[in-house]
Amino acid sequence: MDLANAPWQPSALARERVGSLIALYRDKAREILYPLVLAHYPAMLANDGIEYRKMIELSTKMMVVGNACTEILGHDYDERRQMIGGLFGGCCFLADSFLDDFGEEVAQSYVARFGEFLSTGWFELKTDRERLFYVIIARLFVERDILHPIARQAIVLLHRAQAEDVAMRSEFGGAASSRRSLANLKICARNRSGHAILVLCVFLVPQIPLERLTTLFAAGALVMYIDDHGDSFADLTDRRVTFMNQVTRPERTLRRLFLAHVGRLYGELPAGNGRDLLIAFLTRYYVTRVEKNRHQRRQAGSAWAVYE
Amino acid sequence: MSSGDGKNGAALVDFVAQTIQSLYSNRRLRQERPLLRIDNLEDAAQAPLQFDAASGRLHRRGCRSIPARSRLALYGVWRIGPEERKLACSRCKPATMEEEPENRSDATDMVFGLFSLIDQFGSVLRERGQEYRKSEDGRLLSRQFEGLFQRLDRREQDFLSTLLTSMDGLIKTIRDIDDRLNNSNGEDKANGHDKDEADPAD
Repeated sequence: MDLANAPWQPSALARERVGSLIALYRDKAREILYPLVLAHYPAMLANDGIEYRKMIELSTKMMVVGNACTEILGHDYDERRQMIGGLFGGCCFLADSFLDDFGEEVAQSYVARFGEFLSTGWFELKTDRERLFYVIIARLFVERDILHPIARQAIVLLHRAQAEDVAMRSEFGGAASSRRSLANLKICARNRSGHAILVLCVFLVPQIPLERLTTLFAAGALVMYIDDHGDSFADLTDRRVTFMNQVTRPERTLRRLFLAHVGRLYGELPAGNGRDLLIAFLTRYYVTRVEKNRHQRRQAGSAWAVYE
Repeated sequence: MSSGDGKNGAALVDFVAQTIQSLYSNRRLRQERPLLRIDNLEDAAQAPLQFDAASGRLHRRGCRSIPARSRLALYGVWRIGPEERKLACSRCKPATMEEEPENRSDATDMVFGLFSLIDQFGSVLRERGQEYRKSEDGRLLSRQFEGLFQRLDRREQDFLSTLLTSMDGLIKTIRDIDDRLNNSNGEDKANGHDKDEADPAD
């Protein structure tokens, strides 16, 4: 398919809106997260604040996605919802760091202890990083009825998907051995990010119609495929197996997934600013991540989050 | 309360959230009781309807059309809305289901919830209350409360006294029942601690 003539092709206005929102929300993410980092985990600001800046980038991304989802679900993305999006980004960044950055033991410990937290509410805070994570969660939890059945399920299903991801990593130990394991990796990526976007949405709005829930779940899955393709080489260096770093022709696979998912979003979501923003953002994310992967293939690169 | 209510409100959320966890870590609460159970997957698996978030299909529980790959994408749903009938699985046809009566929480659950909190955090609340009563703010509040009490008419004073006495009595009754149950289970605990460690004021 010719991308330039696809019916869902984002308008110049939607593309411009993504650009201006990224700049706006980057500043807002700093406003929201910097005081928390300073109060609870100032060590994160060391080394020129590289890790903190990565967190701000992820938070910015979540704020843009949150903006699109909120508008799709018929609400205004006001100051409070922007704050929720920013906090959610910080929360995701820290959870991902427990899962991805400190080895298998830390990942398994996080999965077990967060599972205990979801069953009992108790969470023993052992490090400042955990304290920051917990404070962000507590702030998110007071923003919505956390005992709403769909909110509870989205959070717990996200945790189950994380647990399965960690278990599969140790099972595959650096490479997926069969077609079936490749399929499992794809399902796991879909679930992890599909439920994550739903968790974001349940914090942002009081109700999600089932019809929207499934389309937003698909949008979340696409974010993960794109993200994993961008981080493909960094993940392989860390012996982290993902669907996107195990398929034989990743760029072609991602293009196929992108076209199928974006076509679905265009067809199923109500026409409007929210849908246009989501598609424009995903298109930009896709293009920049493909470029990042190519760049890393040419020269061993870092896992730095890029938009441009 | 929204943490967006202002910096003080948000800082209070941070403080309370951390303090509760540190009370737990320092074994000052009933260890065996959960604070908040978010995990409802067992209940959700028993819901009459299961929504497959991956395929967008709504099934009856146990429908054989639910693909294995959707195992961790299923959301338990308790009722089907008119707008959601079009998502129904064509095999199990959940749209034709009769609605089961809803199992709603009632006011009694709320009262028991409140008392479970008082019971779980009782020793901490009492200790904090004693400290607060001695503080300058506490003394001021006490004087204000006495002033307010004096301004009430006789009927209102009687009502307030009855309310406070009833609450006291109810808490004591719940504690007695709880202690009896604990002892009948062969445990000799007081508020989650060995009796030797319990507040001497008990």
